[in-house]
This record gives sequence, structure tokens and C-alpha cells, in this order.
Amino acid sequence: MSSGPLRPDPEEAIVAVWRNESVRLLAGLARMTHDLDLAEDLAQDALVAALEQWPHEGIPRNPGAWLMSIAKRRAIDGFRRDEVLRRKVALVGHELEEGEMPDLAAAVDYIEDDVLRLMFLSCHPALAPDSRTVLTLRLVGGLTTAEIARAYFAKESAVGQRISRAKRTLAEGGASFELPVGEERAARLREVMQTIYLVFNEGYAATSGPSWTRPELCLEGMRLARMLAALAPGDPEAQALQGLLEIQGSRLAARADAEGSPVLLEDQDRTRWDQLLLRRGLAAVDRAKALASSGTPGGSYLVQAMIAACHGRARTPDQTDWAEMARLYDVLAAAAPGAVIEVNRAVAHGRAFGPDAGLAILAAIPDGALAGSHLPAGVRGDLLHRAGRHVEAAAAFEEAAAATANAEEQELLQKRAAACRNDDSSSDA
Amino acid sequence: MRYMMLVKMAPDAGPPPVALMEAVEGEIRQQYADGILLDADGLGPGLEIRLTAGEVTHVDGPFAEAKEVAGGFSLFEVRSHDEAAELGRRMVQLHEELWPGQDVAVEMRPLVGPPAPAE
Repeated sequence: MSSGPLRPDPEEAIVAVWRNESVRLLAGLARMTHDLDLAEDLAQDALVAALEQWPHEGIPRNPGAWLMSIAKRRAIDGFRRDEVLRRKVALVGHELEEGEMPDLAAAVDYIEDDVLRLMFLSCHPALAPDSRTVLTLRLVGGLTTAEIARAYFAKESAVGQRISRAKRTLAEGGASFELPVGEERAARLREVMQTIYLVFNEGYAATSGPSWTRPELCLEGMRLARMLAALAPGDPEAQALQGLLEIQGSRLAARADAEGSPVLLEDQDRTRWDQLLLRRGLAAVDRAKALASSGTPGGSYLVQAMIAACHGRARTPDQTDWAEMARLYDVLAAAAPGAVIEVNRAVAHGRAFGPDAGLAILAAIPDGALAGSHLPAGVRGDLLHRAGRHVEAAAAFEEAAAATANAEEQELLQKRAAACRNDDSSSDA
Repeated sequence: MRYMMLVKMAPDAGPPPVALMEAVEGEIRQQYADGILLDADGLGPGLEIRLTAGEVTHVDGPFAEAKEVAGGFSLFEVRSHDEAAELGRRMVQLHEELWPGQDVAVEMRPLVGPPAPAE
């Protein structure tokens, strides 16, 4: 035990404060300047000032307001010096000169609008999905370029370039800093949700790097989803996205074994599911359902979240409500048709109504729709096996094994093929 | 990483001033909007069951003899110990500002989490 100053290293303390304040600071500055680069520069200036002054003077009572007043002062100085800049963003000078800094604590709604505006910008449709994710993590998540690069196993310089290119694209395209309304707002919200989903998903099933999951990206995705759900409390899809990610996130610890290999849902030790996240996720799904039944219709995130909730409520795989699951996959397939959803629908129908029901759905998937994927053959093998058609099942598992490049999956599928052949010879005897 | 914040003060401190309660509510709203607050609640007096030198005793709250008791908890998901320390600092600062003369102790305790999968 030791006592003394709260944090012996003032720089670490300042970075922590910065983490808490930078999004709101940047969001407010972006609204005032209508210029992301300038807003970031001003925010950085404020950070530098904090690093100079706080070690001597201590952290001010309201660090957010302190940082904002410094940034605004710098902005006003800059505008006074630079006539061109001043003319370019004439309205800005007005807003900056408006006088007193609003009390941050009293102006939460105002600030929330700013943060939502920043989310809309960083998930702008003019940007490629990869750029949206890094820009969102940087501007809304408050991560440094180095942290983003580490999370994605990318080079820091590459991430940095992607961020500056994205900002340039927004500036040159004249991206609006105004909050969209009506149908455009709904469409832009969907872009934001998709970006958050991408961040989470890269953490949930990493497409590169040494490990199968990257929990830190899942945590960022969940945090962003909570932020969005708080910003759009009346939107069932925003609540559903939070629920979906928290329910999926609750399985993270159960999702890999001690060697880091994937453990599929049915084989997971459900006592390792994070009960707090699961409970929060189920509550978010309930909120989304209530909103959807009282007017604003839900969409595919709500259906996906309800599917996740259906798994989440089952204490053991046997307790899964497969009839409900089959119904939900029917809804999902109607709303967002696709071969991957059909494969999942086949699994659900196979469990709910018998293997033949599942096999019929698989048979209807056009040839080549999932070329190169082991998924349809693997599911077909499982359904055939359940139907007692062991020879055909073994052939399907072998087909699946040949289709995957992952050594562990290959081994698992070969084992299942061998088990089917074994079942066949024992049933002959 | 998850941190539990416990706000502790003397058992006879009485109800906090309205201004402090409002400020704390504002802080909670902000933490919720930032996506870092997972759970929070107040804690009632309850009871304590104690084992001392082989003897079990029950004490029904309020715990008048205790030096300090926790009146509530918040559960956060933060990215570093320093972020947790900052949240704690702000809570103490609000008390210093809005409940003059009242001593308070804010504990920030990391949750250890479940053990890694069996080797």
C-alpha cells in the first residue's frame, strides 16, 4: 500500500483525462469549424497546453471545459490572423465569438448531437468501409493511430495514410456537418451501425493476425454500439445492435480453447459466458422489441439480435428453442436473402422439424453460391448423419474437409467423416 | 478492463445535498452516453455476518460502529487503470465541491474476471 499524489506520472493522468474528453471536444470543435483537420489541430493544441500546465497547476475541476476554452481561444487567434481562413468559414467566427463556453455538464443533449454528427461524418457513404472503421475508431473511439494499427495488425503509416485520405475525401466532397433528417438520417444511421458491426466482427473472428479473436476490437465495438444506442434511444435497430454485440461479446471467453482454437457455439462451456453482458444484451433486445412493436419497425439487426438472444437464453444446447430459431431465420432470409443465411436456416429447420426439412433448404441453394466454402457440405454432412444416412454423410464431410484451408477444421471434419463410416459399418453388423 | 467504484463515507453522514445528487446524476448520464457504464446502484444498510475467532455474529445495518460504509457502486468498462483513476478523481472532486466538510473515500477495484480456460 502506498499513499501520495493520485498519479505520480502527470502525463499518464492527462492522457486518461484526454480519453474521457477528446470525443466531445473534437465533436464540438468540428461543429464550430466545419473542418475536421482544423478541429483535430485545435484539440491537439489544447492537449499540448494541458501537458504544459496541468503538471504544475493540477487537473482543473472541469477538464472538458478547460480544454474547450483553450481550443476556442486558439481558434479565435487563428481566425484573427488568417483572413482567408476567416472568410472561408465565416459563420464559424460568429459561433466562436458567441461568448461564454456552455457548461458541459448542463449541455449533454447539445453535446450528444455533436457526437452523433461526428459519427455520421466518420461513417460517411463517400468513404470505403475500411476507411470508415479506422476513422470512427480514431475520431469517435479516441484511439491513436498506433493503437488502431496494432488492433488491425497493420502498419502505423498505412493507417495514418488511410485516415488522412479519408479526411481529404470528406473535405473535398464537401461532406455536410449538419445532422441529416428524415429518410437520410435513417440511411446514415444504418451506415454507422454497419461500421460499428465491422469493428466488432473483426475482433470476433479476426481476418488476419495470429489469434482467432481480438477482444480489444470487440470491446471498442460494444462501446461504440452503446454510445449509438444512447444517442438514438428511439431507434429499435440501434438498441438491437447493442444487444446483438453484447450477447455475442458475452461468449468471447468461451469462444476459444486454451490453444486459441475456435470453439463452436454448441460446444461452448456456457458457464463461461459473461452473465453481465448477456443480461445487458437481452435487456437491449427487449427494448428494441418494445420500440419495434410500438411504431418504428425493426430490421435485420433486431432479427439477428433475437437469434442471438434465443441462443443466449438456452442454458444448454438442448434447451434451444429451434422452432423460434427457424421462424427468425425465415424472417431474416426474407429481409436479407443470401446463401450464408440459407445455410443457417437449414440448420435451424433441421433441428426444429427434422433433418429432411434442413436438407431441402440446402438443396435449393444454387450451385456455386458458396463456392470455396466448407459450410454447406459440413451442414449437409451433419443433417445426413442425423438422418442416419451415414455413407452420404461421410462423403459430405470429406467434401467439406477438402474445401477448407484451415488445418484444425480439416482435422475435425475428417474425424466426423471417419465417425460416420464407423456408424455405417456398426449398423450393418 | 472492468472496475467497480465504491463510494464510501461515515455511516451517519446523512443524505447528500441535492446539488451533489444532481451532479452525480449528470456524471452517470455522461458515463452512460460514453458507453463505459455497465451497471450502477445504491446499496442499502442490509446486514453483516461476521466470523471472528471462531465465533459467528450478525449485525443488522445501519452499521453505526463502522468507520465507513459503501453507499453505492458503479461498474465500468475502461481501457486503462488511469481511466479508472480519473473517474474516481472526478467523483471525489464532486463531493469536495458540493458537500463541503464531508469526508469521502472512493475505491476503484479492478474485476479479476474468470480464470483462463483449463490447460
